[in-house]
Amino acid sequence: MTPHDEARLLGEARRGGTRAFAFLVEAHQQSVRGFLRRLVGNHADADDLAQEAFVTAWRRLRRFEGRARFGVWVCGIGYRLARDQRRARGRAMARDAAWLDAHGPAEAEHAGEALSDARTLLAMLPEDQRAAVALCLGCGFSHADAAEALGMPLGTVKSHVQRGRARLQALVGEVDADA
Amino acid sequence: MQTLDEILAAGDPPARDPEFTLRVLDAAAREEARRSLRRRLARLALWAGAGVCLVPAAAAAAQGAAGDILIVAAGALAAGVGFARLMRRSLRLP
Repeated sequence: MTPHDEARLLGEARRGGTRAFAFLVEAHQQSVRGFLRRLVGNHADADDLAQEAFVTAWRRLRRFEGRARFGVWVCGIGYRLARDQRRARGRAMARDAAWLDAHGPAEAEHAGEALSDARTLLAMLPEDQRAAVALCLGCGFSHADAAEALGMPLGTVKSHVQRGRARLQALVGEVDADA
Repeated sequence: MQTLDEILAAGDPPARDPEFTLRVLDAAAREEARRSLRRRLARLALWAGAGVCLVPAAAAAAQGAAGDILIVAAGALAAGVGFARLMRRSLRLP
């Protein structure tokens, strides 16, 4: 979809055009769902979050300034929703973390074994780093788009991607060609 | 052996999933209906609030308290406007 088409559809959707909004959802659903699947890990939870992100976008469409692409904006909404959901589940997560501490970190479980599953790999990164890696390496977003979506400075995103990549390469058992 | 890029690029959902699009549109329609109901309830609450604020002014007028009526009416008006603004902000009405 060209930026011109996107702007036209956004204009129609802002005037209440559900058909135009449906086209926007169709055009951007893969990147939003893909990003949230990589971020959250669980596909069903990620799809629910993606749906909520699109509905939030529909509600706030008039506030969308068009600084970034529509898909980048919705990914940002999804990221914040996922973060809020994780915070709301904080206590359960703290219990899980305590359990993991008691039974050894996940990384230790796989020591010496090359991992080949994106979900397991990404789960080993801190949330911000995982989000940056998922957007830039998984969904092919530019660093600038990822910075806009995640509300982080460009330098932070670049450093998250670089560190996350190095860590994942070590886990996969791949030698970094750039190193 | 798969490279890291191949592993990370795998597992994308289909480019177009009409079922997902329909789910989003359905949820958006339900959200729109909820907002519409909330707007109607807010309007009703505004009118009710304004009515309640006018009661002291009407009562004062009925008792013929001419000196105090201005103070009571001004107070009622200020309370009514404040209530309306508060409702508007809390319900995010345009």
